[in-house]
Amino acid sequence: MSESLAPAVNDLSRPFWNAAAEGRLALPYCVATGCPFWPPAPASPFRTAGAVEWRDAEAVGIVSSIVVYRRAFQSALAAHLPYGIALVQVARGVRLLVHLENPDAAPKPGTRVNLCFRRLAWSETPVLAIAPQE
Amino acid sequence: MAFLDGMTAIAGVGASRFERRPEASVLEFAGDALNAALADAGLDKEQIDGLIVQVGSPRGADYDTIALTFGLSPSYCGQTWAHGRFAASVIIQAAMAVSAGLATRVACLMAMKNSDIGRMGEADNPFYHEQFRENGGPHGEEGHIGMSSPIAGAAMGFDLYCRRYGLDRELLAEIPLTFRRHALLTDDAIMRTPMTAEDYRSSRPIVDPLRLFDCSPVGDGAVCVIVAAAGADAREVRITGAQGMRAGRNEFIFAPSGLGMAQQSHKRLTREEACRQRVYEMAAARPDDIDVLGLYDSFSPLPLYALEDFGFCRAGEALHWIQGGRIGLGGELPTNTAGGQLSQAQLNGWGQIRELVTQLRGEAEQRQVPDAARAMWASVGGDALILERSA
Repeated sequence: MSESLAPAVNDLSRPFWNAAAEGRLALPYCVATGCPFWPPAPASPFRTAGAVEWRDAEAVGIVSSIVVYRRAFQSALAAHLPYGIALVQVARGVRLLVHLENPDAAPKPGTRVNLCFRRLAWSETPVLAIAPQE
Repeated sequence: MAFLDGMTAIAGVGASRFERRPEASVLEFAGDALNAALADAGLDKEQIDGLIVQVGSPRGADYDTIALTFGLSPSYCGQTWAHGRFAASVIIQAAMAVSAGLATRVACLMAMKNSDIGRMGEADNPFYHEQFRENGGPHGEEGHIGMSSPIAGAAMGFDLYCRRYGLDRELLAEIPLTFRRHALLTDDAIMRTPMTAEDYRSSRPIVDPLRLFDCSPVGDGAVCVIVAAAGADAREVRITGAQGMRAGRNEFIFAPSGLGMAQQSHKRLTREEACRQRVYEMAAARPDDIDVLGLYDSFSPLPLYALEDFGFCRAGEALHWIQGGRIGLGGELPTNTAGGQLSQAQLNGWGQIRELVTQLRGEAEQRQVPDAARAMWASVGGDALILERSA
């Protein structure tokens, strides 16, 4: 495998990335409890061997916390400093990490945000980002 | 039944020098630590019949290489992953092996060399690979969005912690400043330049809200601890309490239980729950009974969470609780008295465990905590040991 910062897509995570390519947020749900969860699992973490079904979720969330990178840990990221990462609470308690291209203009923690999928400079695969706010 | 309670002891401890020297061999560090521990315990290498290694290749040496290289013939071997966090778990496994009759003297060895990671190339670096670990890196890394390096999880956890409890992040200075003062009294510490509050405040931002001086300096070195049945000699340090690592959806390696990181709930341990953990029950002790403490501090916020999760103070209180010299030598609860990972050397916590043994033997010289009889190791991951000096 060549050196790459693209997400590692496989059979388990592919429904998320297929939806992402169409601009949708899909999450795995526990069929028995109806609860979404993260990260993807072949069986529900809430039930022994519980069935899992991927469903679309609303691409909105509340920002929990933010970090801002002042140092690049990969050379491919150096040109993009500073950038941020937000922890965002989406459907029913599921929390996802979201890339922030411009941390100075980032929404404050506690803010409700719309999410989108965007191609970043280092990867062809669109990843989770915060949409321009209305 | 707490069958580990006092049946086993740390019979010897030894360390290599700590440095950053890419041309050194990790086996030299390992050999120096092993031989120092054997000499300390008064043992010959032929008397070692168990070997448990933390951090194998590529940063360390695997158990088979260690045995081959040093002419050991262990009949009970174990090894944990090539990473931090399992120091207490290795010692617990050794104590269990001795208690269960699978071995009589177990060498627990952590040898690691980080100074040549750059030589491996960016994509061959183990830290590069782990950000693409399936379902997320071990500290919350997600390489595809730039969430890289262990510091990211520590920074995110601390940002969330300060927001949840309405805390001023500058209070964190007490941790690196206290441990640096301890390192100034420690001959083999690698960070021996005094640090002022202004030095800390003006240190380079790495991932906000954390700075360079919130990070332990990654380097090279080794520590060896020999575990055997208790009762052999007066310098031994008995293992009277132990508990292993936690894991699950309510845990995040760089946050207390139930902080609200990753998929954690918001349900923190109460003080009462924290004080009733297995390590305390096994040793029939409470936080107030601890004379000297060792805490995992690869990043400076981490000790706060262990103080709360092990009941030294309540959830959300640690950042204020540590102020005013409370965790310094001469304070109420001297912590990381040799400088910890932040200032002595980044040895995954083994430096602190070695220091606790030294303190309990009364051999810590200018760092000695008066009348230290009961010591504790605790980490944010939930593992803990209570150690007591021989009567």
